[in-house]
Amino acid sequence: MTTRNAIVLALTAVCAAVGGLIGLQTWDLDFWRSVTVVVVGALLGVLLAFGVLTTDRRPVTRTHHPTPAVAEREPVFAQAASSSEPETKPANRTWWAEAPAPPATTTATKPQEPLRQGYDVDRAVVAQCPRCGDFRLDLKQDGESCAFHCRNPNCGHRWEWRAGTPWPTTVVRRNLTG
Amino acid sequence: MENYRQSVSRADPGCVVILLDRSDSMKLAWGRTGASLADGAALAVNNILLDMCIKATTEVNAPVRHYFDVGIFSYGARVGEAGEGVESAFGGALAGRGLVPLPELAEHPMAVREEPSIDLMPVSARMPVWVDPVHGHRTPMCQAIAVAGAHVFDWAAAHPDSFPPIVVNITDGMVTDSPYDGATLQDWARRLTSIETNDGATLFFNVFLSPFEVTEIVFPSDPGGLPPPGPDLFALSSPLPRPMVDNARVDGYDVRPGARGLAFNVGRSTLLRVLQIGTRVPDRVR
Amino acid sequence: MSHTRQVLFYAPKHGNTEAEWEDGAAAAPADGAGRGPRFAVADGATQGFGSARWAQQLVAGFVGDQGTAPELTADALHRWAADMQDRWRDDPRLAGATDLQRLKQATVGSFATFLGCELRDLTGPRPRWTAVALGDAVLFHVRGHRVVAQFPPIPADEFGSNPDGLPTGAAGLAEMIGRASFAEGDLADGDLLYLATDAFAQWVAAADLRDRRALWTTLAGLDHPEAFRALVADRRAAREMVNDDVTLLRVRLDRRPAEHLVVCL
Repeated sequence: MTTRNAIVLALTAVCAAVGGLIGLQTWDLDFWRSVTVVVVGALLGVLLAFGVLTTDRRPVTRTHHPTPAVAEREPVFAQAASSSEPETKPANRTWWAEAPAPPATTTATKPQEPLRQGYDVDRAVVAQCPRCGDFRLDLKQDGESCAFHCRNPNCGHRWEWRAGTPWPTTVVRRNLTG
Repeated sequence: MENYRQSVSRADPGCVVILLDRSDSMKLAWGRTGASLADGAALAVNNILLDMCIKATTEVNAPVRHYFDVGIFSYGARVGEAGEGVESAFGGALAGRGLVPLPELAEHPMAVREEPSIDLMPVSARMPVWVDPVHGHRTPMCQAIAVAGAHVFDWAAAHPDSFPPIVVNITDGMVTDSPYDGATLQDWARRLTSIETNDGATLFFNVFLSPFEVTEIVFPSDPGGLPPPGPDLFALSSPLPRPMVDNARVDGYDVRPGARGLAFNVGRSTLLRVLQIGTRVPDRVR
Repeated sequence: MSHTRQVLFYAPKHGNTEAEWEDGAAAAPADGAGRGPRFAVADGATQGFGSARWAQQLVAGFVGDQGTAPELTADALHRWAADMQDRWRDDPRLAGATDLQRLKQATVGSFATFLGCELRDLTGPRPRWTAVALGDAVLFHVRGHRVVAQFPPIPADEFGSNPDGLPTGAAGLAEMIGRASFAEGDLADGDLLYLATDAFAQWVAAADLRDRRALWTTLAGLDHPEAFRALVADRRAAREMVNDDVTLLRVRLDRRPAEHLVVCL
C-alpha cells in the first residue's frame, strides 16, 4: 500500500466515523446502537475506499489502465515425499479397506469477457521489458518520451521509448528471472 | 478428457514402484549372459533409475527435477534382516526408504561402479547403482503388493491430480503366499489397481523372466497360448493405456487393441525396454 | 497499416518455476534495411538438456537479436540454424556442468519446435505475413472473430504427433530443414496474428470450433499477464488445456497509432 493510499484510507475512516456521530444527533439511539452505527459506518467507508484504491488507474500517456486482481506469481511446490511420508508402514495396515479420498472434481468456468475499463485495448501498447519479458515496470514520463525500469530483481533493465515508435526488440528470458 | 493424460511436473509428479523378485530361483543363469536373473534384474532396475535421473536433468546449474517419487520393494530374501519378507530394496543412504523423490535418488546411489552393458555388448561403463542383486527363499508376491500398496495409497491421496502410480512387478516364479491375509493374488492386484488419482487407476504391469531362451511375448492382447503362469499374469496386468501403447509402437512393438502391460519370457535388454515403455508417462515431449 | 503492436504472454507448466519455462518468444520491429517486423515462438523439448536456452537462442536469433537474422529460405535457415547450434554448444555456462549434465548434453542434447514470422510490405500495396514452421507451434491469422488462416493447419486432435523441430545436434539438421513448411497470407487493417506453442494452440484450435466469438474476444482483450495466466489456469483446471509451458504472442495490425500505454502493476 502506498503512503497516499494509507492517507486516503485513514481519512475515509475518520470521515465515516464523524459522519456516523453527526447522524447520531438526528436520531436518539442507545449506547450500543450508537457504537454499532459508528463502527459499521467506518467499516463501510474503509471498504469503499479499498474498492476505489485497488482499481488502479495510473495515468500514463493519455490513458489509464485497469489492473486485474494481482495473482500470486510464485508456484506452489509439491512437498517432497521424503518429508511427508512415513518410511515404514505398519505391517497390519489395511489400506485397501480405507475409504480412498474421492478424486476432487474440478469445475471449469467460461472464459471471461475482457474488462475494458475506460480504454480501448485495440489501441493500446502493453509495456513489456525488452530484455526479460516481464511486465512489472516503473515508468517516468516526459511528454511523449517514456523512461522505463524493469522491476524484476534479476533484470533491472532500463530503456526509453517514444510514443508512436515501435516497441524495442523483446526476448522473453525467464532464466534471468529465477 | 480421457484418463492417463497428465504429464509430470513438480506439482504433479509421477510415482513409479518396482516390485523386485528376490526369491531363490533368481539365482539361475539368464540365458547365455553368464549372469543370474537377479544380476540382470538389478542391472535393469539400476539402468531405469539412471534413465529417470537423466530425463529429469535439464540444465547446467540446476538440480535434477522432482518429476517422480520412486520406490523399489523386494520380496523373497531380505538384506536388512535375515529371512524371507518384503523390504525396500534401496541400499546405502536410502536403505529402508519407501518412496524417494528423484532428486534425492540422484544424489544417493549406494555406489558408482563398473557395470556390464545390459544388451550383452562387450563393454562396461561406470554407472550409479541403487540396488544389488540378491536371491533366496520363496516368492511372497502378495505381501509385496500389500506393503507397496500402502505407499501407493498414501501417495495417490497426496497427489490427486498426478498421473496414476505405475507399479511394475519383475518376477521369475509363482506366487507362494496366496492367499495372504485372507486375500488371493488376484484380490491384491484388484486392491492395488483400485487406487486412483483424478487421471485414472493405478497401473500394474508384470514382467516374467525366464532363464531359458524362449520366445519373448511382449504386451499380448490375448492370454491364449501363454504357458503358465502367463494367463494368470495376463489377468493381473492392467490394460496398456494410450500413451504407453504409443510408446510401445514407437519402440517397434506391434500393440493390438486390448494389450496388457505384460512381458513374458523376456531377455535382459527387453526387460529394460519394457521398463522404459512402462515408466514413460505422457509427456508433451516439447 | 504501418503500425504493429505486440504482446508476449507466457506461463510455465503448473508446478514449475518461472525459470523452468522452456518455450521461447521474441519480437522485433523492422530493421530499417528492408526487413519487416519479426516474431517467433519456440518450444523446447521437455526431456532435452538446456531446452530453455535452445528455444530462447532460436527466437532471439530469428528476430536478429543474436547474430544475423536468416532469410526465409531453406538454405539460409540451414546456415543460420548451424550457427545457432554452435552458439548453444559453446555456452560458457556449461563450464560448471556435472557429469550427469555433460552426459545428457552429449547424448541427448535438445530439440525445439519453431515458428517464425515476418510482416512485409506493410505500407505497400500488398501487406502480408510470411512464415516458416517446424513442428506444432501455430500461427492463427484472425480477422473479426474468424480465422482467416492457420499455419501449420493442424486439427485440434492431431497436436503432439508432429515430430518436426530444430535439433541441437548437427546430424539431423539438414533433414529437418528440408521438412520446414513455409506459408504466407495477405493482411488487412485490424487483423490479428497469434503465435502460440502447442498446448495453447491446441486449446485455441478446439475452442475456435466451440465458440469462436468468445475465444477471439477473450484473446483480443488480454492486456495483463495475470489475465492470461488466469485463463490458462482455468482451462487447465477444466482439463481443456494440457499442463505444459504455454506461450501466446499477439500481433495487432493497425493503420492508426496507439492511443494508450498499458503498464501492468
